[in-house]
Parts: sequence; C-alpha cells; structure tokens
Amino acid sequence: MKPFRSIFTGICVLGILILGSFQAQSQETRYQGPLRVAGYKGEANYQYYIIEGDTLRNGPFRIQRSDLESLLQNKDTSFLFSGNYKDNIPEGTWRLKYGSFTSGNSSEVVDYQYRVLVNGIQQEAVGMLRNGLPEGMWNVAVNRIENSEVAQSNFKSKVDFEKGIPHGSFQIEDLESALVGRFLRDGLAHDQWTLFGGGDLEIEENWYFEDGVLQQVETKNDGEVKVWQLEYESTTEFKTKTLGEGYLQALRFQTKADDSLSYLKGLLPSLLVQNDIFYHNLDTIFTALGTTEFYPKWKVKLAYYPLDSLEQQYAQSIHQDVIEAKVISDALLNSSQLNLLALSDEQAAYGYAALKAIRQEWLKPLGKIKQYYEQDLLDYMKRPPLVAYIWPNGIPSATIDLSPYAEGKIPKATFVLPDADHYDLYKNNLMSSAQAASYALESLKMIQKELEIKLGLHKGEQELLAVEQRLIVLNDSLQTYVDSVQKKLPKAYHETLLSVGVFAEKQLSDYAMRSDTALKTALAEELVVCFKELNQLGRTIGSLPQQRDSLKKHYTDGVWNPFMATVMEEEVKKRILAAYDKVLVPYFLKNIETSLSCETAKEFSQQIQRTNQRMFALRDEETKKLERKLRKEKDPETVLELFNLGNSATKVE
Amino acid sequence: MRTKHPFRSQRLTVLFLIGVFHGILAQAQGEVVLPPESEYKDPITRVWFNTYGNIRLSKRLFWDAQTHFRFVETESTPYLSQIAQIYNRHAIGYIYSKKFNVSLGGVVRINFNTDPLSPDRNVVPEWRIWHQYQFAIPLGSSMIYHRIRIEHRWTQSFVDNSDYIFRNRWRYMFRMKTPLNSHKLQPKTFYISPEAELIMQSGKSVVASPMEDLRLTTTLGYIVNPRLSFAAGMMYSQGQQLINGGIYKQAWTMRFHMYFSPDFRKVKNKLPEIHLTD
Repeated sequence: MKPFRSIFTGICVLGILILGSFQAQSQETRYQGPLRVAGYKGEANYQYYIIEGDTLRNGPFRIQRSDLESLLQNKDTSFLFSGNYKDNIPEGTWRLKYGSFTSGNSSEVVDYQYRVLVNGIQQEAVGMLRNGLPEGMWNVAVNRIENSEVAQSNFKSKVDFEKGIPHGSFQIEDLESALVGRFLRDGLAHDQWTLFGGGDLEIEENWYFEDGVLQQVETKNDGEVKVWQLEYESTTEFKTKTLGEGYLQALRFQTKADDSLSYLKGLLPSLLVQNDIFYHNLDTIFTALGTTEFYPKWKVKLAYYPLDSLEQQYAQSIHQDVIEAKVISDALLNSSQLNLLALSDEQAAYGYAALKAIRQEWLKPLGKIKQYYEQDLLDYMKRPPLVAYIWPNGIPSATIDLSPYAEGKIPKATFVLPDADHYDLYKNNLMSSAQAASYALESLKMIQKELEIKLGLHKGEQELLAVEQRLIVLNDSLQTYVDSVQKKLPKAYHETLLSVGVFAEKQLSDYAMRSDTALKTALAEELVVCFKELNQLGRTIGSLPQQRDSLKKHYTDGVWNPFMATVMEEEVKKRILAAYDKVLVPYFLKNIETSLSCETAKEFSQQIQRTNQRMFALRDEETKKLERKLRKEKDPETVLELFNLGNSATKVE
Repeated sequence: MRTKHPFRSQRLTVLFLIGVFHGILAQAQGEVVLPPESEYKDPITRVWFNTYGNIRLSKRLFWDAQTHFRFVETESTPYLSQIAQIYNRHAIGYIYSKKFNVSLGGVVRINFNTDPLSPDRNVVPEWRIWHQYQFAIPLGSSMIYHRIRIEHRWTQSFVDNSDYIFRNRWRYMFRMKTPLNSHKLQPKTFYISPEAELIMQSGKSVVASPMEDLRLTTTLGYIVNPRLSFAAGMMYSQGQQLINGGIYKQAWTMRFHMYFSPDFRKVKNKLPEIHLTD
C-alpha cells in the first residue's frame, strides 16, 4: 500500500510541476522594440503576459536610448531605466538614469573597442519599490561628468521609506550645503532640521518641527543669529499637507507677515524644493511605468484658515476674471496689427499702454491669488498678510498712470473707467482684490472695444469676437478645472471628467471649422450656454467623491457599546448607500461618458444634484420597505424610481 | 493538649471530601491543621460558556443579564465533561458617564453535585446580592477598566437540609482591551484583553482563607458590530480552600463569551447616542 501511495504522490507532484512550467512558458512573451515612457523614447526590452486582452508586464524591464552619432556631432541626451515588474506593477530595485553628454576631445582604443570620453550632467535615482510604493533607502543624485568620470556631485539626497512614507532621518546635499532632518513614522516632519553650510560645514539654519508643525526657525548670517518664533493662536486647527513648493508658499502667510519672508529665501527651503522637483520628475516617470503612488508621502501640518462662503466667492471671481482678462490682454498685445497701429496712431498707443499697465500692475499681482486658488492654498493663508504681500503698496489707484508704459508716444495720460467710483478698492482684503480683478477686466473690455473699432472691425465681427472670447474663457476654466482635480480623483470619476473636457474641446474645434459668419454668432451663443453647463457638470463630477464622503458621514451613527464603554461608528441603511455607490454613481458616470451632449449636460448635473439631496433626506425617513426592495436591485432606473427620483434624464440607448 | 478522637477525625475527612462547611465546621475549626508549607492541589480543568446581555432601558438605565454555563472535567475527560453550575446574574445598571457606571442586582446560581460517589442532593441553589462600580479609561487606542464588585452570598452544601452560610466577596478586576487590526475598538476588529481579578472573602466561616480566587486571563475577542462581540480565552486561577487556608486549589479554564447589547428604544429616544450631559 505504502509504495503505491508514494508513487501516486510523486506522479501528482510531477504533474503539477509540468503543468505549471507549461503554463508559465505559454504565457510569458518577450517584447523588444521602441517604447515611449513619459516623453522618453527609446528601445525597450521586457517580458509580458496577456490576460483578457490586457498586456501585463512581468519580470525584468529595461528601456534605454543613446545615439553615438549625435554624441560625436554635438551632444546626446541619453537615458536608461531598468527594474522589475510583478503583474504590471514596478517591483524590486529600480535604477533610473538620464542626462545629456558631449563627447570629449580624446578617444582611446581599449581591447579592440573605441572609447570616447564624455562630459555632461547625469541624473540618477536608485531604490526599491514594493507594491508600487518606495521602500527602504532611495538615493538620488545629480552628477557632473568629466572625461567619463564623476567629477562633482551637484545634488544628492537620501531618504528612507516604509510603504511609501519617509521615516527616520534623511539627508539632502548640494554643492555648498547639506540638510539633515527626520520624519516621524507617519511621514510628518519632526524635530530639528539643520542646514550645514560654508566650507567647514557649520550650522547655518535650523527649523524646528513638532508633529509636522513648524514652530521655530533660526538662521545664522555672518555670525549673527536670527530667530523666528511662529506663534499660532491656541484655537488654530492644523491640517496635513504635502511638503513641497506649495507648503513653502503657504508658510509665508501662516502667522503674521513682518519680515518673516527672509528665512523662506534661505538655503534650507531651496534644498527642499530641489529635492521635491526631482521626486516630481521621478513620479512622472513612474506613473508612466505603471505605479501612480510613487510620489512620497512627506508631510507637514499647516494652520488652517478656511475661506468662508463670501471669501470663496471672491476667490472664485478673481480666478474667473483673471483668466478672462488674460485672454483679452494676450490677444490684443500679441496682435501684430495693433502693434503696427500703435506706432502711428495716438489713440491706439494710448490703449496699448493701458493694456500693458493693467497687465503689469493689476493682473500680475492678481495672478498670484489665482495661482494659490488653483493650488488649494488659500485656506492655509492668513488673509491680511496675504493681501499685504500681493499689494505691498495697497491696490493701485483706479486712475491708472500710463506714463511709464507710453514710451513717450503719448502725452502724459491716465486711464480710468467712467464708473470707477463703484469699485471698493481700498480695503486690504479679498473683497477689494475681487473688486480689483473685476475693475481690471472691465477696463480691458472697454479698451478692447475701442481698439477693435480702431482696427476697423464691423459690429457683427466685434460681437462675434466677444462671444468667442467668452467661449474660450469658459473652455479654459473647464480644462483648468479638469487638470487641477484629475490627480485627486479616483480613476472612474477622473475618466468621466476627462470625457467632459474632451467633449468641450471637440465642440470648440467643430465650431472653428465653420466659416459662415452669420451662422457662427448664433452657434457661438448656443455654445456659451452649453459650456456653462459643461463647467457646472464638471464641477458636479469633481465634487462627487467629497459628496460621497459627507454622505458616508451622514449615514454613520454613533452606537454606545456598553462592554467597551466606547461609542462605535456604524454605517446605517447600508443598502441605500450601497445602491448609491454601486448602482447609481456608476450609472451616472457611464451615462455622461456615452451620451453627453449640449442638450443633456444640464439634466445630468441636475440629476446628480437631485440624487444627492434625496440621499441626505432618506437618512431620516422611514425606509424599511425601500431597503427590502433594494436588496437585489441592480437596475439603476428602478433604483431611481424607488428613490422617488423618477427618471426624466436621457436614457442610454 | 487535646487528643484527637479517632472517630471524629474520620468523619471529618469524609465531610471534607464532599465539601461541607457550616455548623460542623465551626466545631471542627480547631481540628484543621495547616500544613507546614502551602500545598497546591493539581489543577482541575473547566469550560465556561458565558453570555452577557446589556439591554438599554432608558438614557441612563440598562438591564444587565448574564447567563453562564460552567462545565468541569471528570476523571476520564478534561474540560468539558459534566455541568457544574448554571449561573444567572441580573442587575439594573446606571450609566453615570462614559467613564463610570454602577449596577445593583441579584444572582441565582444552580450548583450541580459533580461528585459521582456523593449520596447527597444533586442540585442546590445559591443566592447573591451584588453591586458593582466600573471605571473605563481610554489609553491610546486601548481601553483600561477597573471593576470593583461586591457580593453578598448565601451558599449551602449538597447535604440534605443543610443550612445556608453567609459570606461577603470583595472583587477587584483590572482589564485592558487593545485592538489588534485597527487603530480603535470598532466593528470588524480583533482585540486582545489581558485581565487579572482578585477575589477576597470574609464572613464567620472564613478564618484562614481570605483569598478565594486569583484569576489571570487572556482573551481574544472580535467585535462583529457595536451590538455583538465574541471572545474566547484561557484562565489560570488559584485560591485558598475555605476549610484549610494552607491548601490552594488551582484551575485552568477555557472561557467563551458572547456579548450582546440590543437597544429596543424608539429611534427618536436613541439620538444623540450617548451625549449624557446634554
């Protein structure tokens, strides 16, 4: 009996082995050929297998580019990325090198090989990835190469990671200074961060963090020590942010202004920014290689001063107005026709100078607020120091002095809008800044009108131009929004949002193909309405994850557990929330992707908004019967009916 | 010096074996000889199945309802072999705050005679009045509990028509609950709970054996939802024998617990869930 059993086991094991190796052989295929990774085009060599039509990279991967001919002639940009994949996710040790080289003057022959020595700059990063996240020590460096040898290390950084979170001490160096600091286990900056500098590497700057919050900065300049204490109010709430350039921007306005800006111009922040830029570059490459989670979770905490609803409106209107103003001023300033006219015509020269003045004195400062708004930083900036920084001498007078911009072509002149009195420009807050943005935009529109008359445009053409401008502004606003939220959104939402952006672009290019001016104006006006709806729809989609979070909170009940003596959170009416998550939202997204048109856009966003409102209401209603009916319901139309939402939206055919 | 009467000492041995206390014990006390060194008896093995109910009655009051089934080894089978006690503990509790609650109630315990050779009754009841003061203190992601429980207890032996004896029990328990797969005690979380309880006793019949039981337990639990948890653990215990303080009983006990806390109040009375001071 026994020998028979062992033979049987043996056969089984052998069978499994043979089957396994057969399967492995039949699946893996090798690719060798051209490939593009985040703008790097080269020769790739990797293995992959195919599951349900998807190509999944697995095993060693290598892509490189170098061109001897171009190196010998002038210079060559080369790169080499190598590492491993596991089921299409970068895994294990990865080495990324990229740089540009020129060939040296000398060459030599070694073992029947011609060797050409090169000079240039090589950037290099080496480290491990686990599940697509940085793990263990990552070394990045920028080296100056002379005669094919590292002559100097221009930049070096060493950070230790655990599951993508930097922890323990790190080191960043450039030619003149070295920064040493540490992160807590959750990736928050902590303790003393020190910058050593000068020839003998003495302490030059100290930043003191406590649990991510910057508390104190000391700088030493020619033996003189300067100390800044960041004094937060006791009621201040703190929020976690990524340690990057945005953080340093917000840091300017965290407490009070005075001269606190000078430490931000020190070497320590500049090293942090250099390192951040390097990692952003690596993130772009790794995103193209298949992991979206490479960018390290180095974190800090910032005092949180949320915009109230009025301030939100001001910020939004500054954003909109600056975009529109920029479109107008760019179009006019880049118009060669106007440039020529300004040389000979005094009135055109006057308008031209006013354009330049408004751009320089109004739009440039306002552009910073627009940028902070786009970076979501305004909530972390105390408004009085922010406004004081944007307008060091206060908001300029509504009567704009044009002499610095006239280049002597016009007599001493000023520009002012007839209704300048209606603008409240003299309070140093966001409201006045919003008024300033609106004043600048209205001024530009008036100048534009006059210049267009000067340029001899007909009324119809002028009107068309104005409508087209609105169209471009609306499209820009939509595309900026799509770009700004895309990284923060889960994939499904992001793809739908992207499709809205693509749809708008398509409408615009279809419109541009038309040549009949008469029809064009009507069409452009229709499109303006459509683009407003698309903007609304885009924002509705973009806020869906947030909506979902607040719904989840709304559907969570605190239940007292007497045995633990704690309050435990419990999701209530799970079926309703599940129907929303798994049936309705995917249905909305799919609907938008497949049947978006100018006619349906409004209905789609209204449908989502109605559903959200209904969801909030259902929490407090008697829903036992509804929950029972939802049990196995997978059909979105039926679910909508059960929710009393009927379905007046356009159905997917 | 008194000399021992041979007949009486023989009778005492028999009585010791079946665990008789009152009356005769008072006469016999003088006869108990403490061993020169403490004697530890071999541990016995037991299994307890415990259910704990906590039924919310109003904003601050709850009904504490516990039923335990306790099994003990026989010579041939360890742990789960024969039923030893069925135990019913009830109380009305008062939630003073999230951190402190008190309870007052009664216990009736049905004791089964587990000695197969005993000629006495098979089942006798035991009665108690108990009150309890429990403190709960959060510590990081864990919770720490201090429980003081005082019981007034009337017991009787299995011998026919035996009288009740009265004793007080003084119990202090320290317990900790630490979540294992989560940062706090919440649904779908495993937790580990070490606990230590010292049970002291007093009363006329307690002469040289104030330490009734010292229980050391480690339990692994799982929170299914805020209203239902399960736990299982192992307990080592030791304590002095009532009739001879020099002899220590020992036991290994497997414990299985189910905790349930339904709340039948109308929804509008439930919310807000535990803002007691509102």
